Amino acid sequence: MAGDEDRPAFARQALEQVADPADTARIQPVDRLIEKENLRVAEQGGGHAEAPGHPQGKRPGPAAADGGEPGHLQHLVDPGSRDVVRLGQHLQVRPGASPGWMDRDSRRAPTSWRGQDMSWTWRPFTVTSPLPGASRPMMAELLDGELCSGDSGLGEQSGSGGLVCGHREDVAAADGRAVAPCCPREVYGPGAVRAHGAALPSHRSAPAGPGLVKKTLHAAFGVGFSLVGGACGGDLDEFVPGRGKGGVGEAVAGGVDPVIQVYHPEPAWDAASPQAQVDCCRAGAGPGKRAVAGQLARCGQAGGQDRRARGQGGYPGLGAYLRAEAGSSLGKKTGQGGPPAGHVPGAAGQRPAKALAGERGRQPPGVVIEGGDENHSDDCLSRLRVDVPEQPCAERFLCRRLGGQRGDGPAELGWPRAEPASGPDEAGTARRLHDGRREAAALQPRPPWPVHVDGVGTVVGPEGSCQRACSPAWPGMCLGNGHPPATLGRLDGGREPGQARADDGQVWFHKTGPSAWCPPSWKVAGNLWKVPANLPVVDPENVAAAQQGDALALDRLLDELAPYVRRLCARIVPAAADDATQESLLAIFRGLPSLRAPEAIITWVRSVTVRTAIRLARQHDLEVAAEGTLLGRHASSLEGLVDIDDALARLPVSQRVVLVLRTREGLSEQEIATTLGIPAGTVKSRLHRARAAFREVWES
Amino acid sequence: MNDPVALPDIDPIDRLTILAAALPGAAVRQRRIAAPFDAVWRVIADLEHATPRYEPDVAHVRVIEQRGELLRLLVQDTAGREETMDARLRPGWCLMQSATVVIAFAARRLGSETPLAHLEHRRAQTPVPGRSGSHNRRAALAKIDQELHTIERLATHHGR
Repeated sequence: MAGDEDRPAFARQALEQVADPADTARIQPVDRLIEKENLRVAEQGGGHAEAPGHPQGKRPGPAAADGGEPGHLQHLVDPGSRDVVRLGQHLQVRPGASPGWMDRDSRRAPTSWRGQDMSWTWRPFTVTSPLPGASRPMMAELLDGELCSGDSGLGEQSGSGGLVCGHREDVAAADGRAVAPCCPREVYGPGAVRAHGAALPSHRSAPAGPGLVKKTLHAAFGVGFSLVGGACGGDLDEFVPGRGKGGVGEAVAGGVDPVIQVYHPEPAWDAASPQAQVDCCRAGAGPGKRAVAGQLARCGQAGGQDRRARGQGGYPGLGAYLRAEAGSSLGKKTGQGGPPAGHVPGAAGQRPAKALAGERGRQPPGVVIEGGDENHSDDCLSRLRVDVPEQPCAERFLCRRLGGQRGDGPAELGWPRAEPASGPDEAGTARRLHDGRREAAALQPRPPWPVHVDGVGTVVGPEGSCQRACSPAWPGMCLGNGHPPATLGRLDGGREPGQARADDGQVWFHKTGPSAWCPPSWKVAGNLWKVPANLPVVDPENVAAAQQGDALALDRLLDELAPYVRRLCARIVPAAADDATQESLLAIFRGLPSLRAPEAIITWVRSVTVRTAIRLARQHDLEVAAEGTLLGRHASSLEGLVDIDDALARLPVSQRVVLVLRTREGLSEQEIATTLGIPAGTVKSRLHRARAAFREVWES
Repeated sequence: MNDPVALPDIDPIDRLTILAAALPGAAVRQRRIAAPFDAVWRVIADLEHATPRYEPDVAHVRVIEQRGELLRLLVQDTAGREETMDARLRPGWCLMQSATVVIAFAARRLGSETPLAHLEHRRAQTPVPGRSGSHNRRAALAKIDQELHTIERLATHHGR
């Protein structure tokens, strides 16, 4: 796995942060931690990897999972303890009842919500497996994609940020406040994974710790949340804490956004009591959150620069949250955010009682969403407690994760879909348009049954579940030659080669199988929505037969390649996708006999397709320019900008291609260079320009 | 963005063109049949009965195995030789292949008419350059034209 070479370094970085859990002297102001972490970035590369033993030596038991020490819970449910801690204040951590279980400072504790005790136990340093027997790759996906060997020493992470390396199959965590999805019936949400004050330095181009956690859990929960700690903008893969403006900032991964949103709160933000945001967020967290997004936007305070919140008021951070919550693929760098100086939240920012009352009935039965981070409204979903009788939480969690991303999950889980928010223009026409598309997609049948993948490409589902009939609903689910289409499923939890999971209609294989069949697993692990989606699974033997003129093998190969080719073309040259697809396939099949390595067919197909699409895109642009309509089209269509693809389509071809390949197809810069036949340095510079251009288009 | 999007299938005739690109020497002709798609495809899909009527070299066709779209045929030519063919048959697309020949049909709906494309390809036979090859190709194309004409007649005259 390509990422393996990074892991030792990653582990070192994580372990350097280990401290004694009882050592409160280590508790430091977050801003100091940021500085320290920034220094660490500069010093990265050194360090000694040592694996301390797990504090408990074993996974916490259910009793611990259910509550921790009652004495610690008391203040947690005390409504009077809503005075929250802001960034820059001390992150106080103290030992919990059981070793390694620790509560947050009482001032940070959430209280009850909607009259229900939250049974809140903040377990900063406890990490257990979300699934008994969960395999390591699975944990890698669930948590961070970068599980490292060695004990995480989770109880020793007082106050410092950053992802902690994993251990064995069941240990992983993020920073001092972070908890991985752990015990049955409880799933911790992104609020728990917030990295306060510091983030692991990135190494090479690997994502920094919090970024990974954030991304992963984002994918798991379908919600957005924040990075704190001087996060710079740009792609999460290139997230470098302390770069850019440094200090306190937030980088938000908004769904499948290729652009990370960055907020640098102004001082007034720190000085403000964010209770109103908390209220807003609580009401909006959970399944159906998109439905209440508009109300959330309304109840915030005006002044943010967030496009979404503009006109409806709202904090920019909240806007980012809403963007992610809406399941939208929208994302942009919003630049300087935060409430305006002089803003006094808590007054105008109070959530209207009417809005709360209106949403009270929308909570899916058996599901308790408890949210409300005190500092930033992006951390709205602090905890998602799934309480479904006779249904293991872990399974639910996976269902939610696999089938219900971006707010659509409850539908196939049997949870009632929240009613759309009513009221006046809540988030703008563009937003509704976009959501409408998503609604339509969500209405497609989604088979809820799990699919066990037994070996490469062989899907073994419940009897009768994997039928060809699934294919029309999920055209991207076909596993390839001779195999029945996969349906929405989950990891089998085993360790056999070829573990796969179905996610949003995509089936990905781990690397442990034959390489020709398996997209690289590290992309699956750490880069969930940058995985080459629906990469065709092509049997090299079929390719070889096709090269020999076997017409039926050619036919199968066409079935396998055509969707991928078409998708690439549609993204690179959306205006002439059909022509580009046909031309590309003709070139591919005409040149098939010359392909020397059948197992490399995907790389070759991608290269041929991209180059063909680029050629046609340039031709098309020339034709449009010759007709004198390019400028007019550009200007007039900005109004309908509702989608990242819309924004991408407005970029020059050379920039659009690298951005598409990087962010939509998940290629590395080197892979892009190979595909385009240009130096890697050129790819980097084009990517830089492309991102800048994208933001410009997006914010225009 | 990552939502599953139902990408439209390739048009069958475009598909046939792509297939032909991978089969050097394949002969392809297309004809707009003045009959609705269903009528045309009824002829194509009736392999056992219709094939001997438009394919002069075929005397008999029998489907010996069927698994969904995939068929196995036993084809007897006019000289009495038998050959098995693997086939894939679905509306708008028919691909048959034996050890020596590849035959494909593709059709799409177009109002009351039906564009029908027909491919024939001799396997293990590299195209011969020059006059001889050109002559063979012309003959193959003429044969395909004749077959398409016959199919049109069968489709428009309800098999008579």
